[in-house]
Amino acid sequence: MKKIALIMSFLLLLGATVANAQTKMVSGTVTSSEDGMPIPGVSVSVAGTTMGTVTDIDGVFTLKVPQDAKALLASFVGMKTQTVELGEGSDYAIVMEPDLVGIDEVVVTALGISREKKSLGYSAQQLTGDDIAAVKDANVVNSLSGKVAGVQVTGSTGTVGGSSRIVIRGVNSISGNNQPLFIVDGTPIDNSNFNSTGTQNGGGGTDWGNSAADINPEDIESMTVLKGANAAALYGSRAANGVILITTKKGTKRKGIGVSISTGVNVTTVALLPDYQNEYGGGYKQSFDTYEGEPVVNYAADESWGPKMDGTLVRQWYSWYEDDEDYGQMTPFVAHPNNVKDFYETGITTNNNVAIEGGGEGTLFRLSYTNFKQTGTLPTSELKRNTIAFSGSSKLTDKLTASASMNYVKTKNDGIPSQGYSGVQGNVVTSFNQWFQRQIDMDKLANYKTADGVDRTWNISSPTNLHPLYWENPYWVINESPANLQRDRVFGNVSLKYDVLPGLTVQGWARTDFYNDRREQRIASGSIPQAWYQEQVRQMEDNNFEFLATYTKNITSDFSLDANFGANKRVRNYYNNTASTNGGLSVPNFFNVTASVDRPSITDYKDKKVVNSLYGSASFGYKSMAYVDVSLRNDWSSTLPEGNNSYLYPAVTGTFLFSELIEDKSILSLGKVRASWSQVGNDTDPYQLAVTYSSGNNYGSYPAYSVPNNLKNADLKPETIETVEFGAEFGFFENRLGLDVTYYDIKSKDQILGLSTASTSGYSSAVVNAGLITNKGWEVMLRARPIDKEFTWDVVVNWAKNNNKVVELAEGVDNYVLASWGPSINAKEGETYGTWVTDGFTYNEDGERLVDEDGYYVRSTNQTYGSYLPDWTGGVTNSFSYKGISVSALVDFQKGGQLYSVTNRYGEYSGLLASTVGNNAKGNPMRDPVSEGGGMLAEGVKEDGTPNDVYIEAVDYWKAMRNYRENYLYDASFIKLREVKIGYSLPSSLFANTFINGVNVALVGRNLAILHKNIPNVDAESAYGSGNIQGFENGQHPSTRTMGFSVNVKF
Amino acid sequence: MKRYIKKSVFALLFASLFVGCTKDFEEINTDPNNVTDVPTAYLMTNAQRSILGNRFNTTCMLYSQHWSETQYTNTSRYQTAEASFNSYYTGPLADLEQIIAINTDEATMSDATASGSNANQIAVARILKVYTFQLITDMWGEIPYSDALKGSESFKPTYDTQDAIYASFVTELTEAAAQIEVNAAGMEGDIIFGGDMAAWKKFANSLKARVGIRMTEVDAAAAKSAVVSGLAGGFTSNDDNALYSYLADAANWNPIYNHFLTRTDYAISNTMADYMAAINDPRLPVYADPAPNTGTVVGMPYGVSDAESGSITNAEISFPGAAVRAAESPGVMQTYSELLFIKAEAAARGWISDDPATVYEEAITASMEFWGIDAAATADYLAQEAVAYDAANYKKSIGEQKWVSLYMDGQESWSEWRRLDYPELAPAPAAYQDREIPRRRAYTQNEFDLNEENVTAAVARQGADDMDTRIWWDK
Repeated sequence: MKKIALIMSFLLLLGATVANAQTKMVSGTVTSSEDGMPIPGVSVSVAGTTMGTVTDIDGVFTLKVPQDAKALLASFVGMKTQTVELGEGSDYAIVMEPDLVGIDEVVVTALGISREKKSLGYSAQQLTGDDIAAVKDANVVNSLSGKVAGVQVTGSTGTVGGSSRIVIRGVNSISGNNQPLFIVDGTPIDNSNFNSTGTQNGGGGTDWGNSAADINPEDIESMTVLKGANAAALYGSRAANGVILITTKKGTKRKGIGVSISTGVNVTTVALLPDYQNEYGGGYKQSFDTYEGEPVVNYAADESWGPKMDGTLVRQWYSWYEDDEDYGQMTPFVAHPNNVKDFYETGITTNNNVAIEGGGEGTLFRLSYTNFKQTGTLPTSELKRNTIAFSGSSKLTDKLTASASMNYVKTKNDGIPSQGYSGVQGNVVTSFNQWFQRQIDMDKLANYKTADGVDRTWNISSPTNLHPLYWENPYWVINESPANLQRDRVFGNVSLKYDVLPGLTVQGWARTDFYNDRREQRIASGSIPQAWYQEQVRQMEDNNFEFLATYTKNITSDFSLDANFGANKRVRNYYNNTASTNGGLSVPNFFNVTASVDRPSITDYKDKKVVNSLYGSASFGYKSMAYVDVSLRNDWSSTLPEGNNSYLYPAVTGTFLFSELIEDKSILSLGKVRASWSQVGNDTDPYQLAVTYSSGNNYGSYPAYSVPNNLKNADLKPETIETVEFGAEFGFFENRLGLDVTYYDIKSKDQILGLSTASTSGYSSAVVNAGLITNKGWEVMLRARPIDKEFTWDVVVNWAKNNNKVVELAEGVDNYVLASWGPSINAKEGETYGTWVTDGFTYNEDGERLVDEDGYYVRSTNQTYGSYLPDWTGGVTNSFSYKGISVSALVDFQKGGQLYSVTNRYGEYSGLLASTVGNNAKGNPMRDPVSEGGGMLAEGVKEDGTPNDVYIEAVDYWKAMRNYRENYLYDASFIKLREVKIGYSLPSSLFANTFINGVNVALVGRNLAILHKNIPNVDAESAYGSGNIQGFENGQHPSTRTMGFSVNVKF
Repeated sequence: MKRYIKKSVFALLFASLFVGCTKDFEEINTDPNNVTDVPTAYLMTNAQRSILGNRFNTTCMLYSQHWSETQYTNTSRYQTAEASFNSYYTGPLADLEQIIAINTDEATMSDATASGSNANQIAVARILKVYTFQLITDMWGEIPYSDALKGSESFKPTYDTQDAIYASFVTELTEAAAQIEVNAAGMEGDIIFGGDMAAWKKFANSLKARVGIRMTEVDAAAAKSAVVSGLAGGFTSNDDNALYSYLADAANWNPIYNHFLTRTDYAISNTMADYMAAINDPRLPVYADPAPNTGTVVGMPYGVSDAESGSITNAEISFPGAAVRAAESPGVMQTYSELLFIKAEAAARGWISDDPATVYEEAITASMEFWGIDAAATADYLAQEAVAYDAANYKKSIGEQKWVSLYMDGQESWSEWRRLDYPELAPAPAAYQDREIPRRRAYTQNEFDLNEENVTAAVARQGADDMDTRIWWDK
């Protein structure tokens, strides 16, 4: 109650400054001096204030300005900022001239307020819709890769609809969410990822994607990345990891109805496959066994330590199938170097959007339809997404405006493959890269079942038993046992806004993000595992009811004030109903839970969370030179115990533009320092307070319940994240050179986490308040325009380094296991988050590996080997433009981070990779017997310091290697040619007398080349989910490369 | 102006009302998905099922060479030293501990009697705790015991030495047997004995004999006392056996049945098959099915390399018999036959006055009966010279026959081989790095991650954390 009183008095103080101010509406069009075309996305603001707007697709803006406002500022990236004196009129034509990389830009900030970027006391970076939509990536998260300093995007490899993780300024939470909050037009968008732990650590599962991927790039007007926690006062603790603030395109006041049509086609191909050996085929020994006098392949072996592929005539697997043309025949045992490559297809993506918009007196609307369809490189995989977006507003009276914005998204993702080591349906890639026979001819597998519907596989049990042993025909798996996802989503808001008096408005919103997510997984009858069907239906409702009062006032000609007071009630309901069959299907291939032979397994789960909030903020400006923002928020969360469920958190930022003190701006055109401090409180998930029992399957008529493995805690308190940030921005030589440097220091403490405990305590985890994690880092953004003639060249470099440290965990606990599959990733006291612990080699004082008397490396267990988090990340964009043609190329990079590769581990164990063939140190084939000069020599020294001289058989060497997992931890550094875009705007003179207003064509390419990496055979980026479990590579589908073109026509 | 201030204040008040209410928070935060109270019978059902589910039965059958692996021969070549005991603790032991707590806490003990008398429930839980802890300590050696299962009171439990653990086992079983009230309401939800408290009393005593016999090499006095007292109240026929019944539904299938639905990784080993065939053991056709190629039981060569095993087809070898891999084949916890072998050894050691040869034959007979062999076949078998009790080397006679009779009770079989060193088993010919048959398993990385100090202390006392280090009673 004390806190409420505090907020109330804070706000009343603001209210007291309410005075009689007048405003008026101004509008206008912004065009380019180069071609006279309207420019969308131009920031228009009132000089000396934080009030502003952005021009629409036709370059039109309307803006309410104080009666006493002197001038408008129009700014746009690459254009000179224009100052337009305000006179009596209300309509202004503004002509923009090309300039250097803009530093006077206006950005959309929290609560959708447009502000001059130079007035911000924290780091924010804005991307335009074109930056995002041009690349046509299915997952909007991927479009941010390399473009914003301090933003790390880890994409999944080659499956359509896979997850991408985004983290800003490192990891703050030990066990909770570390991703930023997505806000679309003020509505928080759920970005849940329901991937299982098994999926994420590569043990096996299905990557269903992150749900923010539903956001349609075509409807995005601009995207602002608010990096710090400062926005949290306005969006609540969910924004503690930063905010991705998306503003969608809106209708604008114009003559008639505007139509824009855009279409794009992309082609996706497999970009990277492991380097396979093509000398030895399937088997465990280099000779063939015989069956009834004929040499036979060891069909049961899913390894390639077999005979040389020298063309020997043998009975291959298909020769036992009566329907095969080679039935009963011996065929040459030869390599098929492209067998895996042949399995993949060329994926096609088409993206079509049509939007109509218009507006008259008092009414504005935009309606857009987007059809997105993507087929993957993996046969049968397909993603379809249809989006309808509507936004409109109407002035009901002089003072009352009603608005609505609605998005309906239907996503259908079919043929989602199993991933990881042992996915439910079987992962074909695990077979190809870890358990395979190199001589297999993919063409022979294409006919994957017999006329009777029986799986035809290479991994048959024996000539007399054609039942699949461990691996099915890969085509059988993807055709007969597909997984599908379907999600129907509605998000948007309705609002009423009332202009109480000039400068003071009150507004109320009801917002929703609602979706129904349905997943079906099956194992076809006749597969190796028992036939099975599972249906998961989830429903998520995140409703926010919001109230906001806004007050803007130029107190004197030098002082301005913007104040907000808001209240929010968030109600989140989540439901999960999952049912799966047990004991097989009563009718073969009848995929329905009712076909379960035994009692089906059921999950019936729901949870609810309510957070009530009050907040206020105020910005003070002095002479466009100094700004101070303060904010305060109090949350009440249902998830915390009574007595601890109310928490208050403040933020302060300050900005000083010292360049305003210098008259001559020819050298230093902008000089700014900024500082901010903020604190954010955070709650937890529902039901963390009281012990409950979990139910298991009945034993006959006996119900079975168990004591849960997670010990709850009735004394939880809120978490706290404290951030201090300093920044400086400079513009030199009339802004042809710009530099933006930020330093931050984030401390997160009292984290609510499910601490792993020694299971011998009876519990494997316990909910506690504990820990301190720090993130300190630098972000640098450098912009330059080396050439500024008719031909222009711009360079933008961004670079960020984050130092993460787990300072302390709970009392008496110094390690927290995040996940393990073989190696574990840990939050270890004194180390970086995500530190690997596993087994490896043993080294002597000189750093040489020790080898035992039998010729094997001496193994060490419980060793620590670096973190999956990178040391630094960044990107370089070069853009060139000449007479309507623009070319840009983005190269992004990551230094450091450790990736554990099971593909390399088992690819070598099974003798599939090229590293398992070739010559040994003696110059003889390593696979020859040691007795004949072959074998492998472990590189190291014996205990007495002399070099190892004991050769061991190659198969033993490589098989033993899997127990030194250090060998399969790799540096995940990379440099990638991420994006190339060539655009051309046809001269407007071509359509002078037509109804066409403009035509743009573009050629785009994504993930074009890996310029450098240190990990063999697989991609250094291999996310299996968007959660904190990262760094496991295990049977990921191969990375892809995308190229395409798009055409955009405006009428 | 006043009007506006009024309006603003009204708006603020409205907003405060709209968010300020926290009255219904407790209700909102009450978990609708799980229950806060369940009858202890439900916990008992879960505990019993999970004891069986957590046993390392297959691994131990491979170590004792009852079975061989058919293709991936890693376990029978002793590749991996580490094994996790975690789910024993978070699974059955946590449930059993909670049953004891609910039946002890004055606030809950009265309601708990719906699942049986407090004393009976506690007794059953204590007996099953000993059974489970013995599985753990026999596999790893020193383990958290007295400081375990205490939740937030001890997130890093200390390790106990095995002599202390074994001493406690004897006390626990003695007290549990004593507190059983045969005439009071028996344990509900009891899969093993269906709430028959007299049967639990016999099991407590039989288990005490098992605990006792394990100590012969290290504390003969304690061993004698426990064995003699256990034998006095133990099983008296195969009807008393502690067996876990599996059911026909998938959630309650015998895991071996489940395995063989999709895989064929385990066959009877040549060690077992050859030994039994040589002495015409009538149990052999029950233990294993005939190999399709020969129509006779053929053991899979034990512990050979992948290259060698890969060349042996499924048609050439014998898989476990239908009797042991049906969906409802019972899980063996302790049998009358095992108790008689303990008795035979006690007699041989002179601890009791019975004739060891007679008890030895009774033990074999009980096993024959358990596996469905008729009396005539049993008599023929016993009449053979090679089967006869050898008083000069009772460890060999008892060791070999006990090993045969303990088929499907993998861990007891491996433990008794370690103690008696009979039958004389040769390590896997293709053992990794020429390893010997494991004498224990090593602690996991997870344990070093979460309880480093205590596990390190245990290793310091016990010896290297590998599979060769012998545990306390294994001399």
